[in-house]
Amino acid sequence: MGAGAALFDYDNDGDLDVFLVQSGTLEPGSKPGASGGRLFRNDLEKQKLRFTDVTEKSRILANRYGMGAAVGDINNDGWPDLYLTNLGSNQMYLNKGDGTFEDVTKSTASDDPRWSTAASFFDYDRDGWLDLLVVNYAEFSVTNSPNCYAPTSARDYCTPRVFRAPGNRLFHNRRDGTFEDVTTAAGVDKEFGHGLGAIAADFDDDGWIDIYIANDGDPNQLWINQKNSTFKNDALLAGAAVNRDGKTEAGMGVDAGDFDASGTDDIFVTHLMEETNTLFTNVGAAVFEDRTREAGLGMPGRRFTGFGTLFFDYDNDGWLDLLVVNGAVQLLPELIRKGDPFPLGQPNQLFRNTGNGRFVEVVEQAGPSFQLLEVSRGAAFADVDNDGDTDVLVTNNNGPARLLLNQLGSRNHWLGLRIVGKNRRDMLGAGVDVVIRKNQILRRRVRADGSYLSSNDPRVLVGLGSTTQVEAVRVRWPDGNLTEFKAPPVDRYTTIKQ
Amino acid sequence: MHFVINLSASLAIALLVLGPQSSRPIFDEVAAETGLNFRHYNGMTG
Repeated sequence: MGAGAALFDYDNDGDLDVFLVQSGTLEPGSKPGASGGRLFRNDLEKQKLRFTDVTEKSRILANRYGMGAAVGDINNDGWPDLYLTNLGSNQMYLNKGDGTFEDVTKSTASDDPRWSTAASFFDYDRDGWLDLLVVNYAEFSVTNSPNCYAPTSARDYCTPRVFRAPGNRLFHNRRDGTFEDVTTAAGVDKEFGHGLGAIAADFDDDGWIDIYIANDGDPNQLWINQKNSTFKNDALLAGAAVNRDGKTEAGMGVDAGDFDASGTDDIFVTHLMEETNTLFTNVGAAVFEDRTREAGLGMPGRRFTGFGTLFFDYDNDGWLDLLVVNGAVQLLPELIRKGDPFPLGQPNQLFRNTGNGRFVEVVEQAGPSFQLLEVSRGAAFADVDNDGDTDVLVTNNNGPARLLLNQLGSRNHWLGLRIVGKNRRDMLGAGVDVVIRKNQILRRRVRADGSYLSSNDPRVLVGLGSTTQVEAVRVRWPDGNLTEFKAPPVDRYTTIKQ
Repeated sequence: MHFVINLSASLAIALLVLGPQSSRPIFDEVAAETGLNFRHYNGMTG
């Protein structure tokens, strides 16, 4: 099912570094993840990329059966910290600010010993400190794993329904270096699912951050923030639990973004082949309509099993496009017949937003890597070479990581923003409205979560097309305050402080 | 906070969409050449 990756600036030198999650074998007597997850420092110089493996120096010891990674500054010291989800106990690594990390899982009380997948840092109670959501997948262990079989009678991976759903966990940041498990108090233990994807966003535009969880084979959950440290799952009534046919789907990756420039965050969830990937359009106040077919995303998604995905503007034309990375979870007969020893490979897909509510698949122009048959899982997004367009790091199950460098977007104009608090912490959850001119506003948000098991660039990169000047930037801070900043320069990154 | 208005058609026209028709691929895969050498392992050997 894994694994993911994180793109984050651990050394605060202005460029995004890479952490890649490792898994391993679960055979009895083996050492899961023996080689471990790896941290690569980005030594960017004059837009020339060079990565150096600094894992040993960093003191990160990620040698468990890894799944995903989440990034957030848990102690407000301006240094981003790293949370790793595993099959088994998770790990919280505190960034010491000197190139090293300290395992503070125990002292922070932020572990979850189950099979964790996605995780998201967000400030649900507006106290200025990042809380943590941990999503769990299934009650699985090597000893309770049954044998499952493909139609060809070959032994195959089991569906999640074979295993009970364990439920998720919400940790409240106590502001003293520890977390409190508030899962029950917050009400998020009232619904269960085989969770794989999670995204935090203000879906109902009330200034409080909500949660959307993509479940594999169970109804998805939309936990609306009740503004009193509790949440209520409104997914079914809101039209975001199941598809337009009333069917649950195999939710994997998820993202939220304002693809139609309506001023509200829409949701995109990736699924199994023969299902569609599903586009839930937010028609206002967190009421959603499944407009997958209208958007042209129905048939392209049915061919493959999607995992990592993100709304991002690859051509910087002002409209959020989509990328979906694919790889089957059950053996593909056509690849078995060809003698493929790992017959799960599928190509990845890029979709261009045409600006009228529709997407068109970009095939040949996307690049040779989109022709490869690999078992892609995670996708992390960031401008790794700081040239003003979004690049993509793709992780492949039992395969190499791929770094897709964007060669197109920076030909258009762009606005790069880093939104930080008083202590230079990235203000995850802040809303950003870029005012091009009166009545022409692009809405984005500061986030690192979304996609699948991965963590993304917290900076906000806004494509401007041919526009060379913006009027203003309005920031809706996570504490509810609104600030307007006048005309930041285009084609460069600007840091905006609270 | 309801000041966001739909991106109008006029902006859509104003924004220049640069060429998917360009001959150069949109994405180049550069992991190995930039030193990002990593292979995920899940124990499956075929």
